[in-house]
Amino acid sequence: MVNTDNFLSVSHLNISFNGNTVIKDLSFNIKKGTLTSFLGPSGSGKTTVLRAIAGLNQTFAGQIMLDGQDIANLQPNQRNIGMIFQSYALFPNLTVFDNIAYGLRVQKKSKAEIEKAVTDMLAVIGLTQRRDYYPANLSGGQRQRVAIARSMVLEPKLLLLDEPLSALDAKTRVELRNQIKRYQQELGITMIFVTHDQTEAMAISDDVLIMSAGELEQQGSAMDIYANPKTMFVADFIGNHNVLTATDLSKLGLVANQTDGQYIIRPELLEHVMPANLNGYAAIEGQVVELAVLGNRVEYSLKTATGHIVKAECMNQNINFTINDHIKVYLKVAEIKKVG
Amino acid sequence: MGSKVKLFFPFSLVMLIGLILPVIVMVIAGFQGMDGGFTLSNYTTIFTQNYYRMAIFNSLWISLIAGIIGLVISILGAWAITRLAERTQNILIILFNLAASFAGIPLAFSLIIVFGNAGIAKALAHALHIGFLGNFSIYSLQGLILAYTFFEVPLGILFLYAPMKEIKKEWFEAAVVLGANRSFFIKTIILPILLPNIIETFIILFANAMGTYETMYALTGNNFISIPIVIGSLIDGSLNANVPLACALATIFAAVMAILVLVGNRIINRKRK
Repeated sequence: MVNTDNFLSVSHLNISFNGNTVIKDLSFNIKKGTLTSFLGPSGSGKTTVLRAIAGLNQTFAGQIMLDGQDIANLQPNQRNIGMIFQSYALFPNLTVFDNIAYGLRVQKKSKAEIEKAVTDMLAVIGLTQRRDYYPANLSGGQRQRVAIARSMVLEPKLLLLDEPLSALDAKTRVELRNQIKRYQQELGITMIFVTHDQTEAMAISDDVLIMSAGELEQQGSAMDIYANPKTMFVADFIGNHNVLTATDLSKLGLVANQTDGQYIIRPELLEHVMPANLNGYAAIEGQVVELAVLGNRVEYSLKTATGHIVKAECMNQNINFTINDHIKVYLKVAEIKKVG
Repeated sequence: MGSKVKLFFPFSLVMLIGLILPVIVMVIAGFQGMDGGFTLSNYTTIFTQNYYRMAIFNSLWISLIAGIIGLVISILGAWAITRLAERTQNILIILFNLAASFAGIPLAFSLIIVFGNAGIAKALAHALHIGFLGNFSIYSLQGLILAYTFFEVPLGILFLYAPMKEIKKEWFEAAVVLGANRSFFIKTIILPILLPNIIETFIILFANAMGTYETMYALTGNNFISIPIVIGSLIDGSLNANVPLACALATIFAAVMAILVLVGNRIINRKRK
């Protein structure tokens, strides 16, 4: 019986191009019915892994099990996996209806079945009125919704989304990202979402898998990864953390006698308003040298007497300081985390 | 006077002098006898005498064959080029641009040097006992088709290369992930997208072959008759000089081309819709 925790199981995946190993002994499991993000910078190998799972890159070593079946040697059209491309890859000569119906026609479904399935899917993506439009007459967001519908209508076991929001404007990205999450929850499809945008990954995912240079850095829930990064790469990539050594911590008067290593302090944990009870808190004093108002949030940096730059952020209300002011910020000492 | 009118006026003047007036004169002259009076005899001559009917048939036949062969090779060639490295593609396109212009007398003589009676291919065929090559005559219909293919293929590749380059690899990958195999993808996506370009290219290749004069003349003289060869003979007097008859033949030539272009455009517009 298939364990739903190992719905997709990739073991010891190695991929090389022209003698260069781009994926190094990668192993991970994905739970059924979840949305997992592959997060990492450009060139980290996210898309390469996705293409291997889809069967579009078949020169690899390792095992890929989907729903208990070894799919490593199956052709892409035998895997029952859907894939969404960054460039939408809609067929320009087919209408919205025909694009969505494409896979059903391959399966030789009856006309009535196709009509019903596509009409239902058009309603899900909210494009019923655009069924006879050609892709060229749709906006970027609409095109990507059609591409998603084209895959979802086949009820794939797994849906792979390769940076599906990258070509869209900021507002549409947020809208479509929420829609993708809604489709995933409503239809219960297992999805893998590739992105290099940590905010996007955090917002949408049940699980995040962080990759760097072809290797898995960390896998876990968005909250867990953000709060407890295991490597400096993860800490640096997913948040704007303050990274300090044991010596730095001592100089700042935060804690003494720490073991060697690197520590992080999340900027939003530094409070500019003095807590009512200072028990367990430490204070950092410095001059505000940077201040950026980002709508509802404010990011600022303090330069301490020891020359350290400490990043902090708070909500954009009751701000009682401005640039060049000398202020104190407070931090629960227990929130200082050692990395690794 | 608006800038559009300023541009339109000289352009119209050039069109009038260079194209419209000559066509009007040609059509009118086709209905005149040698004495200048109105007559339909030029057309009755063309459609009743075997010599002229043969010229029309030959022109249509050789253009059709050369057009189809050129088109098939061009489709394969253009597709093959899109698979090469970008730099190689650019070099090949420059070469094909040059090759597309290599027609007429220079091409005919190049082919005579290779395939003529005293040519390299004949010598090799005799030395190596290659029968089919030894029997091949560049001065025959097959020879003419070979010559036409030489300048039709580069032209066809140039016309088909750009639309084929627009075919995205992701379309194939998307189709495969949706369960399609290669032939289903070609039938449902590639052919419908490329068909208008293929039809357009065929019309151009056919028209190009129909209008070819120098290559055929250099290879066969007046031994092989076609519409351009007969028009040339009627004008330069190597047959019996008869300009009105030449004009009638040229009018038929223009009508065939106009019908082909109109039918082609109709099909293309329907496909593009």
